[in-house]
Amino acid sequence: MLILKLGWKNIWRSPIRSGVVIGAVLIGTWAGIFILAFSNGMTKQYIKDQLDTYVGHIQIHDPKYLQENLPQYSISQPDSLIQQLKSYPFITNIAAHSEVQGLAMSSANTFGVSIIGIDTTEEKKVSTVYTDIKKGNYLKNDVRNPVIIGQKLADKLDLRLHSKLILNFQDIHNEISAGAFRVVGIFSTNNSTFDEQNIFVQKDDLDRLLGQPGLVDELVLRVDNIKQAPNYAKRLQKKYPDLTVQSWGDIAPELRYADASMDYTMYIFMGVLILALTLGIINTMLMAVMERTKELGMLMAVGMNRSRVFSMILIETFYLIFVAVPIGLLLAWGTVAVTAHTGIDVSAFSKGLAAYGLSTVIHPELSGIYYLNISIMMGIAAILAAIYPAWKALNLKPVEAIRKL
Amino acid sequence: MFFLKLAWRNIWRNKRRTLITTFSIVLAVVLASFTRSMQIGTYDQMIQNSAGIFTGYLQVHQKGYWDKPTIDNSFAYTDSLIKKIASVNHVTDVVPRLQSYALAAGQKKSRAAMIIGFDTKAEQSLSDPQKNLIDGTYISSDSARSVLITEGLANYLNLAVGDSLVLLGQGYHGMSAADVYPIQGIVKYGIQEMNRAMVFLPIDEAQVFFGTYGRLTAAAVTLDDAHAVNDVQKTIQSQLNGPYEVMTWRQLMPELVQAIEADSGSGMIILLVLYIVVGFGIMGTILMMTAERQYELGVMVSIGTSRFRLGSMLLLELIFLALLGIILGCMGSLPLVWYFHLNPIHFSGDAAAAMRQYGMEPILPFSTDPTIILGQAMIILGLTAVVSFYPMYHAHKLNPIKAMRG
Repeated sequence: MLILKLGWKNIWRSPIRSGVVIGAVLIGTWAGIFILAFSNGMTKQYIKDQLDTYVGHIQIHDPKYLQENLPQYSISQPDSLIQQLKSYPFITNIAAHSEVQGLAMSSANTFGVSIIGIDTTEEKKVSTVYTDIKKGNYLKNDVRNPVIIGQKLADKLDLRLHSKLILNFQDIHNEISAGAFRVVGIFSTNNSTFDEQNIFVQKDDLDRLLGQPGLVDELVLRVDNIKQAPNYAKRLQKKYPDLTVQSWGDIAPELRYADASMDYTMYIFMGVLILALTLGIINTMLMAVMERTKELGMLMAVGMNRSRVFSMILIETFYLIFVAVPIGLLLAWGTVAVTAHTGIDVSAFSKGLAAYGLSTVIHPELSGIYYLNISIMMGIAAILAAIYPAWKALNLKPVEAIRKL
Repeated sequence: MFFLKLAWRNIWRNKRRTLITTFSIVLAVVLASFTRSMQIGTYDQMIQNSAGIFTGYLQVHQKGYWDKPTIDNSFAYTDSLIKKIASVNHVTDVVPRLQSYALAAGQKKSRAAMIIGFDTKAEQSLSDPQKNLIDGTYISSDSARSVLITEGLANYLNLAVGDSLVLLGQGYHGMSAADVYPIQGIVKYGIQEMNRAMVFLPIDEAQVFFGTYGRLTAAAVTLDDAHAVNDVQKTIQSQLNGPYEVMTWRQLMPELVQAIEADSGSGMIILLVLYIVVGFGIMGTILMMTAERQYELGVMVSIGTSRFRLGSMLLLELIFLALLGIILGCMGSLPLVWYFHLNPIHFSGDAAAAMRQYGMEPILPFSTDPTIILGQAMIILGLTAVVSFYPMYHAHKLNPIKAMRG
């Protein structure tokens, strides 16, 4: 008890030294967590944008369609399936596509694309492409065979609004089929590869050319909780063993990569930061022990035993860290909460972000588990940082210590 | 001069103190270099994955090709042109290509594929179909009438080595281009986009197929030093007087540049936090170092040493320590970074699976560019310099009586 009190008094006896250690730990915790939340928010936003644009949360295909990629391997009896799916409370929206790989030909050039037939009212509920129309309009019925294409493809094929575009592909009987389409809209999403490789037409137009009205090759679902998508997909897979149900991570591995690797690099960075903090504390405390040689020697000379000296230094370091860490955590939590609400506009720093498909307003977010993990990492670092200087203090010889200047 | 000597002696008088302060600076340099090398290494891997495997660090096209990439915008393939490019300093190889899209068909199915008219020898320094061959044999003659196709296309079209591949496309100035070729080999690339649908057709035969006799759409250039890319671009541009455009990978792959820039922004913030933390570490040791020497400084002031000189002496000591720390830090960082360059950190679990699926090796690569370490060392030196003004301030404010009594 005496030791606890003594340690507490000691740390306030030298406020500058304590201030430096507390400041380092506090800022390290605060800034470290904030950066984690910032990067996490940025990645989550990126993934969400991509899912909203084209991936959806869950996709359902015929297993053969995924292998062969031909429109005839369609989902059988799609209407009753859609009715059944609608009864699941976690599925919020469903859109049906017919899809075929083909050639888009203009007078200037030819390019391989995925031609996707959509129902405009349903599609708007699962994909935000309609908000990315930069010229013209979304698909409408006022012209015959309308098509919307990405800006990048428009550049490659030298197409403008109202230009004619020939689409060439194989129908469900493997016969070559072709149709003339009119460009009614040009979109530009935050994924230029997507803009280059996908074009959208009315489902009825495409189904007619493919040779089967009501053809459904792909169902795109949105669910109430993205995190639960893999579990929902598993449940649906069990219910429909003849179909392949995939969640977004399987459909777009690059997004799962972005998600998983962010975590990994962030923990490595936190490790480096905590290492820097720990060694910084050890250095400062070692110096402090040296500075207090005379004092410690005196204490030992008047009969304080070694284990008490050891505990005293140990407790001092603990105090410093345990004053700083909770304040740091609290500040970090507060900053994250505030900026998550207001968002941080980084457009001034990075023009690249917007073009890369990242939002320029970032909303940091971090789940509780990170706070816990960081607290544990900090706790272990604190123990390590406390032991070494305390052990060094033990090696002082009382007589020599007092004799020194 | 006298104070220089005194400062030097002071450093070695208490070796442990010197050791601890130096260590805090060494640590700062090593950790900052480690973090930055990891960041730059990741970017290098991204660049290498695209520029070094397919695109090349530079490409020469007919002027206007990039805006409108059709074979009509091709240029005449002459030996003197290639020689001119190859003679530029840092250029290791010039890879001629005739590239366009066509419909590739097997027995039942067809798919739009990228047709690459390739030089069987030169291509080995870029996409290297020979090394990536998983079935069949490599094509040895530029005029051979056979093709290599990627695994993705072979699976999709249900074709194997020895089968025939039908190509149907648009040739020079709207001519139709159609032919049948036997498949001589199948190549596989880790990067899925590359593996999806590519057909390698020997260049002379590709020129026959598209009707572009003696023409190329691009000459891809590989370099021995990726940093020299802008100089090489200028040199090539000035040497080729004619309607050519010379583009670097930065212009050819703006998405990649944007991805790097986007990441680099958060990378800088991360470093900034690290600087603050190591700065506090250095500050702590310097603070304690001054506190420990209260008595000694008090004596010096009382026997008449000017405070300014005392402060300068302390500053000199710290400059010595900083330089020592920086040099040791650089010496320590280099082997550390090299170690992680040779034995990179491996991702595990979900991240590794996702990376493999994405066609990337699941590792965290490190850059060994020594300028990174030097740059970080300079920043830490600056940081130490700022912190070093504290002892000067302390010497200025010191009350000798109090100092000696303590």
